[in-house]
Amino acid sequence: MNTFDSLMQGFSFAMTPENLLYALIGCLIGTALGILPGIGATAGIAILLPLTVGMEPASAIIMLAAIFYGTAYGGTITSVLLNIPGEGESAITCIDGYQMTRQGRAGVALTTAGIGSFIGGTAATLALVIAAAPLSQLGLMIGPPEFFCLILVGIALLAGLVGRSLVKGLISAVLGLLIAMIGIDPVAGAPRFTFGSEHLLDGISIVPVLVGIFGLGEMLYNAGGTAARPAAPRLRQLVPTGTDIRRAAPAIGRGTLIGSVIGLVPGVTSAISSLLAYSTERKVSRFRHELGTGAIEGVAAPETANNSHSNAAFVPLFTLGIPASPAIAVLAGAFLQNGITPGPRLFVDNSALIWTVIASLFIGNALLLLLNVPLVGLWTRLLAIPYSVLSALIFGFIVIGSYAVNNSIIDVFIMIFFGIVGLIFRRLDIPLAPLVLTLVLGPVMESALRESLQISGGDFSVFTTRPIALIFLIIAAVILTGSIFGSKFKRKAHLPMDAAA
Amino acid sequence: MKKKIAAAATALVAALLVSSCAQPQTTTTGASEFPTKPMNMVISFAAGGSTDVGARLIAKGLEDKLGQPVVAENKAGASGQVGNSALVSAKADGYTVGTVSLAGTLLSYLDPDRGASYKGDSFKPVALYVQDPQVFVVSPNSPYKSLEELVAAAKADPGKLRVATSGIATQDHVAKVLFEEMSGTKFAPVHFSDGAAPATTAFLGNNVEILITNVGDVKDMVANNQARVLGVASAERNDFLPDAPTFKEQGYDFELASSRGFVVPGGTPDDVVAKISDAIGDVMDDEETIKQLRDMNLTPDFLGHAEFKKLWDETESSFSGVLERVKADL
Repeated sequence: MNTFDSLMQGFSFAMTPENLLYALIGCLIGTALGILPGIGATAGIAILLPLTVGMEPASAIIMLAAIFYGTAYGGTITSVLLNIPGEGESAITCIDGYQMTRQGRAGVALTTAGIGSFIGGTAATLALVIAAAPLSQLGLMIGPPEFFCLILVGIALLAGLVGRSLVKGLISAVLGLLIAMIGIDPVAGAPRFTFGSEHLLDGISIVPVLVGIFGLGEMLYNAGGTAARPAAPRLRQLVPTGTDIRRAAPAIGRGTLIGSVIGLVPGVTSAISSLLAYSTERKVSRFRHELGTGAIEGVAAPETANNSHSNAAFVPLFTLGIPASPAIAVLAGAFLQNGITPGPRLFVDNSALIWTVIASLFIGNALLLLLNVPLVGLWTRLLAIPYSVLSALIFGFIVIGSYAVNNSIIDVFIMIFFGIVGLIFRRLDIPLAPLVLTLVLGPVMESALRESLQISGGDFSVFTTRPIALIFLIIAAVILTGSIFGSKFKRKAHLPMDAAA
Repeated sequence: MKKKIAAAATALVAALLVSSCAQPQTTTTGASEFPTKPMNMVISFAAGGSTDVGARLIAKGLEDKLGQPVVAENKAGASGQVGNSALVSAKADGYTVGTVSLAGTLLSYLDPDRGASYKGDSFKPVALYVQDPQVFVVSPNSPYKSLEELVAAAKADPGKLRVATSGIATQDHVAKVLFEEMSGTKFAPVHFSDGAAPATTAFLGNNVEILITNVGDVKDMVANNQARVLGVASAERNDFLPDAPTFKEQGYDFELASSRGFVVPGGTPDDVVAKISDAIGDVMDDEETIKQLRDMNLTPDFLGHAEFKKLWDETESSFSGVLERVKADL
């Protein structure tokens, strides 16, 4: 039986009313979990896993997989409407998404994110169908040295994120790196900056920091009473215009590519995909000067990238048996619980089941689109709640969310602390994007560097003798020199205008 | 399968004998009535991992055996250290039970850098339910077909062959150092501080020659012909890998497993400990529980409180002997 027949058979199993219902339930639960910060896909799947014991294996896996990608979309809703990142992967969406909300374009942002997620997810699943085995080899080719150079590309893109003031951008970036240093260091195993607290041995959890800086920081800033508060958009403002679609399309394309490729690499979270997609837009988009002020590309690219990442992350599980992320690891538990072994023999031993699950990935992405686009109007009604009431609700919400990450009150204090940091950043006009980038990329860059050097026995040539690593290194160098010289010319060109303004 | 259950049953009988000898007829009213209210279980790893799922499975069984709800709560962080701290600060009355990964807990208090708020006597071992032996694996294309060939190659060029571990000063890393000292070899460590998945990826991508991990993590890789086992660090061959030789068969007296069990705070009365331990033994007699553990690629192995304590002390002395050298092995 060829791939197409297998897939069609998969669709016929996945389209039974029962399985469709499970996919729908999964999408709904996932979206709801994604809305609450702190409780992400990993916890959601883990909590529901025991309930699936009596179910058909295919139905159980369909429902749990739907929760997995549903959470990614739920996080977008709060990022855009309330400036609260539900998960690390939607943090960067806050920047332009929330600005769009303040301009009354919340509906457009959410609709675009929904469409982008659908396209990104579907494209990554198609890639899984067509070329799962070769793609998994590509994922394996990205070892620690290649990964380190890829992260360097991300750090080089930082230059595009710093905004008008280099100093302020660097303050933000360096603070992110400093936060990332807390915890047991991967080199010598010694605790760094933990002040004797075992709660800091694992480092500071990213979600409370982001929720504090974006969510609480914004609330505190608004409490000053100067900022324009977002208003609920009218119905006709929900639909993207022709211009919106024309501008979002290339960003969605780039986001799909970035997410699908990075998702193949086991151990890389989707937050990295969405950050790289956003940074890339800041560098290459035709409207890059508008990013940060409510540009549609700033929503479309990262949201597309994180969904295509989530779907591409199934490739290493299906073909190598490696769970690429914690959430996928829990999902792999569901496979094991049903007596199915993820890995290269999956397509041979459990062919019918695996094609049903793949078909359900397509169906789930479509369901999410059908579910969320009509609901955008409902979500945006949230903004009609008087701000005094809404802000109290949000505060309760983010306290619970921060606590839920580790069941730890310390995370709540961390969230509040970074809320104050967020307020100071806003008062001093320091950009948030560089901090998010270094906070997420810092730790992975450090371990990748160390692992690479252990593999090579301390020889730095490992970064230049491996072809893929070298390519990434050259790209990073080009971006860096480009932004150094580019900014020099730009400054000259814009000098009179800036002076006039 | 049958052999395992028989072994578990034998262990249970042994545990019962030991516990009944330990306190003849002097059972206090406290223990005979225990428990009279709901119990708590502190799970020191994140929800969804195999430690969590396994512990919840036992918690469910305990509810039936003891007739009281067992409320599980995840306190994850710092390889179990956060959960351990929460457990030792709980009231020592048997109503709070915690999970431990033996190696992780030992290493957290043996290493002064970790600043743990507890020591060995802060815990009373209750029962062990899983022992997942350490394994050394190489790629199926590797020239090394046995430990002997690997050791010969390592001796010819010390420090050249690379070993992936799931982080510095973890059990995988201790296993590496213990084997090196036993065989007179030296391997280059590559520590993957983000755990087993990145280490496995680097192994499959041929970035390292050897991977040290547990049977449960390589069972599927072996079935898929992605890995060849050179040695299993258990007394007998593991049911999951019947074709894989043990270290013992190849002349190395090397036994080390990732042991998962339950503990209570140090001051808990012995008769209460025995009662919980026996109840866990009863749970482990249940064929369905054994099957569910095995479905998660875990090797069920019950030890009562006395045997668990013995294993604890033995492992502690073996670890504390090498810890300094492990930490220097960067």
